[in-house]
Amino acid sequence: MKGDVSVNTIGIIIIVAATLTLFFIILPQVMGFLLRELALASPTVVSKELAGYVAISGAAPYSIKISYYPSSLPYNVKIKGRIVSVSMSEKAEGLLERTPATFSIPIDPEVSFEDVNSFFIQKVQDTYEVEAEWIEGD
Amino acid sequence: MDRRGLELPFGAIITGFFLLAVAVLIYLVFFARILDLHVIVAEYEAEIHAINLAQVLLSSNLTYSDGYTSHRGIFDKSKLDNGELNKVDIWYPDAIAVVGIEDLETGKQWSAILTPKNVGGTTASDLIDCLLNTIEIDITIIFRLPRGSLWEWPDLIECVSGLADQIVPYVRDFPVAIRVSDSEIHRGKMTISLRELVFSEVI
Repeated sequence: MKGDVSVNTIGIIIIVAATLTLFFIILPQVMGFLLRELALASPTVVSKELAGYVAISGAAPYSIKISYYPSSLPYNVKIKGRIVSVSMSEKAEGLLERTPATFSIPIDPEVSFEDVNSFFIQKVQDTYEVEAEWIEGD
Repeated sequence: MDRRGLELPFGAIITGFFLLAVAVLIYLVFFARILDLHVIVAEYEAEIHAINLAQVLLSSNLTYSDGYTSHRGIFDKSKLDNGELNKVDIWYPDAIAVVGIEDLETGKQWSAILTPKNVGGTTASDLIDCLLNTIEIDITIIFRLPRGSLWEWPDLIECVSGLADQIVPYVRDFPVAIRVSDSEIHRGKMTISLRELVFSEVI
């Protein structure tokens, strides 16, 4: 019969429309958000930010305290020879950047931490201290 | 009715494929380690290093201290005259910086080369040896040469080339004050001429 649309046909049209919406509109947005979050939590970004905070703590004339919480993921961090080296802990799961990253600093605190995600940088006069600990994520 | 096999409507097959694709996607994104994520940050590291170096110098022991706190951005002339600029322990392991401070009211100048020290890699050591022992250069030429051209000086460029895979230049002036006495503060500028050394291997 002309003009008849079966229930199956309507169902297929709805599923195809939903699929197209998901793959071309919602999925790119979700993936974009996820990749941005993953990038911000990557060792590359964390090493640069941590190095920046340590370096700029040296610009405080007397004392300064800086707290830095990059993400809820665990990191292994080593500061030695004025190189900040950050790698993702083996305990971190999921799609993450696994390549260690380094960034240099002009001052010389030397510390090493494993499985941490919170950093505390303190300078009092000419003494620099970098501490870190694991804080349970959200 | 005799029905052999399973009969599925086309819509159900599409739905099945869709759910399977979503399941595979979720597995790949959240659970699988077959995907390797690389993050690339586009930035000008030489500029960041030069600015950070300047900021740390502006609060260093070179600044005037009244006994309680250091006065950021105000260099103490007596400390500069005593050569303390050459003693500051502020340097990057992957950059060479020429620091020049000039009193804009009297024309007096102070300068130093901040080179990597105590770095395990031979590359940096070679570079330091070359800079400190091989070449003899009057560092005050930083004020006499056109902006940034210090690094085109033949001996210096010979020292640097071949030791790093890439050398990224950056030069910038920062306004400073120079305390001469209790009643006299002069305007000045600090010039940071930095060469970022990019090595293929971590030093």
